[in-house]
Formats: sequence, C-alpha cells, structure tokens
Amino acid sequence: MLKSRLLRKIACLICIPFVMLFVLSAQAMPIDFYGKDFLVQHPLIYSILHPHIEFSLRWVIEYKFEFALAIFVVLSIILINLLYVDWQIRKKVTQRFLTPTVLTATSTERIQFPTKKIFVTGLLFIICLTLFYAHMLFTYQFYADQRYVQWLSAGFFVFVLYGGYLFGNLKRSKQLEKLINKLHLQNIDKKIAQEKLQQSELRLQKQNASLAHLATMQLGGKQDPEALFKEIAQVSAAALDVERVSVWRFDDDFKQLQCIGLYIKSKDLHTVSKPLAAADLPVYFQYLKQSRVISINDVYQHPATAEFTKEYLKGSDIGAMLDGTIWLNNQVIGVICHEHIGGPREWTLDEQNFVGSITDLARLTIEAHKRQQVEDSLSHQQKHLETMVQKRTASIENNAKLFRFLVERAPVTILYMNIANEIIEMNPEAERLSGYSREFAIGKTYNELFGTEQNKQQLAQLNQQVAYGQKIQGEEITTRCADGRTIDLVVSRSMELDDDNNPVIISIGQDMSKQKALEANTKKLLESEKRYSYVVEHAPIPILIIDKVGNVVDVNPEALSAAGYSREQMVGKSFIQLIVAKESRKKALAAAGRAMKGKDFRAIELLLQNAAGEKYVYQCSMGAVVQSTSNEGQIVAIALDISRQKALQESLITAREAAESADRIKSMFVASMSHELRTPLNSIIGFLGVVLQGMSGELNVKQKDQLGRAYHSAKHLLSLISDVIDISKIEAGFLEIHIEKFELAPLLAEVEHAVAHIVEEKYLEISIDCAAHIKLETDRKRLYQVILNVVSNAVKYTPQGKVKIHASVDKKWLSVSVSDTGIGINEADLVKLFQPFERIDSPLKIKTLGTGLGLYLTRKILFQLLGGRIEVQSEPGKGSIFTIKLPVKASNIAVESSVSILDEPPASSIKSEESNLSLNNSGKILP
Amino acid sequence: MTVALIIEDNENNLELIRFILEQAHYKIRYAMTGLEGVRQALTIPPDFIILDIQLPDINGLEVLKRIRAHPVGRDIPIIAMTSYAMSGDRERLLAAGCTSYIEKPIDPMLVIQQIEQAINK
Repeated sequence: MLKSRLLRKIACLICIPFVMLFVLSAQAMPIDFYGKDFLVQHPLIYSILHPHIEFSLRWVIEYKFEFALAIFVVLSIILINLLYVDWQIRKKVTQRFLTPTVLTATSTERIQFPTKKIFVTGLLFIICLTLFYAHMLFTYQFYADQRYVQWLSAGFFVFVLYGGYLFGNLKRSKQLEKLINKLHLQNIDKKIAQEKLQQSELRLQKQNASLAHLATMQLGGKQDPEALFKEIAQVSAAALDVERVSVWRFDDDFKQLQCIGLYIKSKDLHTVSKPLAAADLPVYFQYLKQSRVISINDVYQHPATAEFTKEYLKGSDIGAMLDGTIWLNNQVIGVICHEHIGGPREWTLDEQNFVGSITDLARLTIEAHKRQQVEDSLSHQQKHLETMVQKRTASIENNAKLFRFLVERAPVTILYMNIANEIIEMNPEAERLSGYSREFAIGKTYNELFGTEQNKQQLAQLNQQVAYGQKIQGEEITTRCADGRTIDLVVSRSMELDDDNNPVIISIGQDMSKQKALEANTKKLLESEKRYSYVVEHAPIPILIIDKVGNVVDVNPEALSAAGYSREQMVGKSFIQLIVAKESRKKALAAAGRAMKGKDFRAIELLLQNAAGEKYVYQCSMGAVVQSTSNEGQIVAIALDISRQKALQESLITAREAAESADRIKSMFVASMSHELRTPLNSIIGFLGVVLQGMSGELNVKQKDQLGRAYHSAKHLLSLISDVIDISKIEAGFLEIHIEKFELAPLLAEVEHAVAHIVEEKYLEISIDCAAHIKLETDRKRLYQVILNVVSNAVKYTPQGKVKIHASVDKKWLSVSVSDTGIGINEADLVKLFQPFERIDSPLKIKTLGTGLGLYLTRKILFQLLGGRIEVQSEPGKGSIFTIKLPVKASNIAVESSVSILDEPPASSIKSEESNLSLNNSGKILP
Repeated sequence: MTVALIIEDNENNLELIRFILEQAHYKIRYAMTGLEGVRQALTIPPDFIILDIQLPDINGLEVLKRIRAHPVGRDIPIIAMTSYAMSGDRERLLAAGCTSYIEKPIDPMLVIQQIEQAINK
C-alpha cells in the first residue's frame, strides 16, 4: 500500500513539468496579457471598477501562474488516482484468471472503490475552475485575451473528458471483478471437498498401518505390557493426531482408575497422571461401563465429561475426547483416552473404529501379560526351591567344619563321656592342661583321672545331677593333673543325645588360675588409681590432662573453678584456644610439643585466662604419660597461680625504682644548685686574688691580712661545693671517668707541691718513696684528688713529725700508703671516718679547716669509679697509715722494671665495686 | 696591639677577666650572648677569644662550632673557660676545635700565662 502511494506521489511530481509546459505555451501568445496599458488608456472604466478590478486584476496577474498550476495539480491527482485504481482491479482480475486455485489473503481482499476521494477532489476542482472563470469573466482579461482563455478551457475540457472516460472504465472493471470472485469461490469449495476426501483416505491408511504395527509388536511378545501400552499410546496419538493419549486401568473393585501411561505428543513425553476416583465422576464411570467407544466432540457439552473439574480440562486446554474401553471376560478393565486440545473436534467414524481396534489390542496385551506372569512365577518358584536345597546342604557342611574347629582350637577343655563317666574323646587343650595324652585318657573314668580326696564328694554330686538331666553351669572344681598339681576349673556339664540317640556327657572346663591372679592384680591397680584420682580431684591446684593434639581430656574441679568453664565446655576443646592467653600461646605450644616428646617441663611461666577473659600468670609443669595399650601419649599439666607473687614482686621493683629515681633527682638538684653557687664564687675569688696581688694598688698589712682571710674562706667554700657536687654526681650515677696514660711519680710530686705551703708552715718533713717508671692508665685527675685528700689530711692532723708517701706494686694491687706521726684515731671513731659530714673529735678540730666530706668522697671515688679501696691503720697519739689500693688489672698498671709486664687490653669502663666495710679488731677496715 | 674578644654573660666575671687582660695590655671587646659573640668574632676577627660555656642563648660549644664552621673563624685561638663541675665537657670542647681550656675559678696570677701559652700554640 505504502509503496503504491509513494509511486502515485512520484507520478504527480513527474506530471508537474508537463503541466508547466502547457501553461507556458498558453502564456507565450498574448503580449499585453497583463493589461496595464489597457487600463491606463481607459481611465473611466478603471475608476468605476477601481477597487474590485484592481484587486481582481492584480490577484489574477500576480498569481495566475500558481493558480493555474494548482488547478492542474488537483486535476492530475484525480486522474492518476483513477488510473491507479483501474490498474489494480485489472491486475487482480488477470491474476484470478491465471491462477484460479490459489486462495490467498490478497486475492480475497476487496479493493475499495475510490468514490470519496474522487468526489472531494472533484468538488475542489470545480470550485477552483468556477472561481477562475468568474474572475476571467468579470475582468477585462476575458476580453483582452480570449485566445488564452479558449486554450485554457480547451485544456480543461480535454482533462474532464478523459477523466469521465476513466471513471466509466473503472465501473466496468468493478463489475468484472465481482463476477470473477464468484467463480473463484465456487472453485475453492470444490477443492476443499476433494482435500477432505483425500485426508480421510490418508487417515485410514495411517490407522491401518499403526494397527498392523501394534499387532506385529504384540505377536513378537517380547516386550513387557508397559512398553506395549506406551507404544499403543504413542502410535494412536500419531494416527488420530491428538495431543494426549492415556491408558487407564480399573482397580479390582471399580472404585478408581489407575493411570498406566500418559503420552503427550508435542513434548514426546511418557508420564503418569493422577488416579481418578469413581465417587468423583459417577456419570463418566457409568458411561465407561456401558459403551465400547465414547465419542465426545465437545467436553463442555457432553454429560460424561461435564463433571470433570474445570482445572483438568482447562489446565490442559482439552476440547474433545475419544475414549475406548478395554473389556476382558465381559468386564471393563480399563480405558484408553484420547484427548484433543484446543477446542471441539468432530470424531469421524473411522477414528472411532480405530479406537475400538486399539482397545482390542490392549485387551490382548493384558491377556498375554497375565499368562506370561503365571508362567514366570511357576518357573521362579522352582528355581527358588533348588537354591534353598543347595544352601541348606552347604550350611550343614560348614557347621560341621566349624564345630570341629571349635573343639580343636577352643582354649577350654572339652571332654566327651559316656553315661558311665568314661572318657570317649578329649580336645588338645584338655590334653595340654591335664598332662594326660588322649590315647591314655580314653576309656578311663573322669574320677579316676582327675578326682582327689577333696573333690570326691563334689564330683559324685555333679555326676548325679547330670544323670538326672540337669545342666551344670559354672561349677568351680579343683582337679588333679597328671603330675599331681591341682588346677581350678570352672566346669559346665550336660547330657546330650548323639546322632544315634545315645546319651553323651559333655564337660567343658576353663582354667581359672591365671584369671584369679589377674583379678588380684586389677584390684591393686584399682586401689592405686583411686588414691591418685583422689589426689587429683582434691588437689588445690588446677590439673589438666591433655591429649597429643592439645585437646583437654580431663580436668580436676580446681581447674574448672579457676578457668570458669564447666567440664563439658572444657573437655574435647584445645587447651591453648581455651585457657592460654594470646601472649603465651607460642610458648605453651612449644612446651606441650616438647613434653609430648617425653621431656618434662617444670615451672614455665604462662599467661592463662579464664572464661571471663581475666589473665593470670601461672607456673606450669607438664609431663607426658604414655599409655601402654594405645601407645598414645597424654600430657599432665599442673598449673600454679603465681600472679599474686608476680604482682608483689613487680610492686617491690617499682617501689625500689621510685625510691632510686627520687634519690637521683635529689642529687641532680644538688649538683645544679652547686653550680649556680660556684658562679659568684668565681668572681669573689678572682677579684680577691687581683686585689691581694696589688694589681689595683698597694695594700697595707692589715688589709692584706683581712682580704687573705676572705680569700681563704671563699676557697674553702669552693672546695666544699666541689665535694658536694662530686658526691651528688657519683650518687646520681653520671660522673664519667677519663682514662689517660701517665706516670705515678710526677703525680705524687704535684701532690707534695700542693701541700708544700702547709708543710713549710708547720715545719714538717715530707718524703716520697716511689719506684720509678710506674705507669698507670686510669683517671689521673680523680687519682690526684684521692691522694691529695689523704695527704692533706695527714698534713693537717700532724702537729709535728713526718709524713711519708710510699708507692709499691705487687701482683694484684698498686698501693699508695700515706703514714704520719699525727694524732691518730680512736677505734670508735674509725667507724665514723668514712661517713659524710663526720669529723673526728680532736683537739685539732677547731683549728683545722675541713668539710667532713673528704674521706667520704675519697672512698666513693675509689670504690665506684676506680675500682679500688682504702684501708686505714691507726693508733691514737702515734699516727695513722692510710693505704690507697688500686687493682692492677683494672687500672692497668705496668711496672717497667719488673719482669711481669701486664699487657692485657685496657678496660674501657671500670665497674664500681661497692662492697661492705668490715671492721676488725686491729682497726683495719677491709672492703 | 692584640685584641681579645670575651664572650661571657656574667657581668662580674666579665669585669674580672677584662681587668686582668687590660692589666696585661690587651685590647678588649666583649659580647654577653652567644649569638652576639659569633657575630662579632666573624665580622671583625679578634686575635683570640675567651669563651664562657654557660651562656644564656646558645651554649659555648655551639658558639665554638659556629665560629669554626666559618673560614674566617677557622684559625682564631679560642680559650674556653668553664667550671670544674662541667669537666666532662673538656674533651668535647677540645674535639670541637677549642685551642685551650681554663678552669674556673681563675687564678689571676696564672691566667695571663695560660692565655699566652694558648695563643702561641
């Protein structure tokens, strides 16, 4: 349609140039067609008709071309439309004639007669034409150029005439078409009838073929009925061209229809449908019982199927049914149901006949199957009987074998005796245990062989009981062996009949001696275990038993209460996951692993946690216990809570540290204070020195004396402060030592020089006795300080006499001893000697200056920095000897003159050797 | 005439050393902070410097390092003065380029001798 419409439009456009050509040919002839000059030459007419004429003229003049064009276009459209419709009708008619049998959608489509279109366009054309002619008539144009108008009119008339002709043609074509259509329809009817006939023939052929197929199958008889029913369903579905074919079977009391098979053609699917109950469908069942074939053309109309639930019919979209009932011995036994889907269907007679044949086939199948079943069951029963007999025979043989084996190998004594208690047979175990050989024993009575004085009565009683048919069970008898030993036996005895119905006494005995010993042992073990388990249960420390993969096997109540879990929560869980805190897991794992290898662990510290997540430090011991039976190790872990001890220890440590740090802070404070004190002292001493030396003018004697006192006081203060600083630093622990190499002799000379002025003042003698070439490697300044202190003390406390300095080296020590002839020290005062701010009461106390820190500092330097010690010997009134000792090794002293040169590497740091002083009776202070 | 730069924050000590050096006919310039001392030492280099270690802004060791880091100050003799309490500094000072080292309290008699020894090193 679209295509044709497009074609029409294209045709219109092609027409336009032809129309234009037509118009131009008309225009070419009158030169003054426009009529301007004409109007100018006749002003009267122009003025009378002025407004209208002007308009009309101008309109016509200006749009004449477009106007004419519009008319021709409209005209052309009409003509083309007419031509097209005519062409279509003709085409169709020709087609029908050429192919009369084809009944297609396009051929039956009726062609719309274009009256409406033609009418509208025609009206439009007439209006346009009228308007145009009206204008022409009412203007001068009409007169001015009659020729033009004539041409134009002639053209229009040609158009109109041609149009009329076409219109007439069209009508004729239409009539022709109607006629053809009628003929055509008759033709089609005939064709349909033929086709139906053909189809029916085909159907019959198909049905026959399928019946033949099924019959051959059944005759073959190899397939089981189910497969055959399937085949029937499939074949009849194909033959009748229905969607669903199902085979149903009544149960024994006609209450239900069981579906044997349902075939769905479109899916090629064999399935089974739900059973149908007679109570639900009484009418349908009645129909089934009465007729051979039930033909239902429309399921919704037929009374038999009206009662089917709508879901069943609608769900499968079933429109028609053809049911054939299966009869056997004048009884309905089943039904084959053909269900056509998608609307009603008229079942033909041949189809109904086919269904009848199919049901016959089904009946035959069922009969054949029943026969087969009976035959099968008979042969099966026979086979079963045969195998039963075979099995029975085999089992009897087996039993005999087994029995023989039992008797020969059983670890119990078995004796067969006749009614007179004579032994008929005995097994190897009885031989072994009693010591009698079988050959010897046979024919002897039981009492003869095994009887003793003690068991005589018991045996007699036993024999009597057995003879009366009692069965003896578990009687304990002490019997005699061949070598005279006695054995405890547990005997069971009874009288049985043998194959020939002779009475035989069977006596079975078991040796109890080993078992008794074992029992005693077990008892002991049980007691021991009881004791240990009591210990474990009541031990006030947690005990765990762990298996080799780390799972808890058992715990004691104390462990449960410590961990905060129940026994069920702990047993079987990994102890590491459960109670060991994350921090200790590695350690615990390693310990357990090593314990597993047989190494006992004692007192490793583990951080354990309880159920609430609280952590405690435990001291744990682990040891492996290897079970002899399963060869699987277990670990016994014993844990002791030491968190409290730990906490106490830690608190002690922190307390000590706090105290120590407080002490250090104090010392540091003193040190920095002392430094601040020294700064002003520097200028005091400096300026006093300057003035005393007369650098700023001469002084008189009195001034000099007074300034001298001030100068000495300042110096004393300075030394006091220096000592305090040194002590503080040593106590604070940051006094460093600076090791250098030097000779001892010059150092001693310096000391002598430092005290020279006092020595001179007091008229004392001072002597140095130092072996030449003693070389040291230590802190020179500190050593100088120490020696000077001791020497200046000696000088101070010696009113008259001598001060001797003596230096010597032995293997261990460098000793510098300073002896004087001074006032000496009391035994009581010796104790105070090395205490800070203690000065010995003496007549010289007031006269001599002193800080009371000198010896304290000396000892501290020696002990803590240089690793040496100081000893003192004194006798009041006679003098004292102070000996400074430095370890050779530590100070690295080498005596060049001596043979033994110690060339050990110089110690980089010297550890202070704090040791307690001990005082002995001779007044010696020893470290 | 030999010019000495004294870097010392304590007025009294400064006056003392100034007096002693003037007696020995040295020309004196002084600075009372470490930074001022460094500036003076590097702008018009003196013949030698007397340097206190305890200074209010940067300490003597730092002053020493800064002077020595500059080409101008590389060869000026520097005599450090510090108290006995700071004896641990001695090695550090000498290592940092200090020419000599005088312990406080100074002895007026000996100080000139010590200084001259240091300059002539």
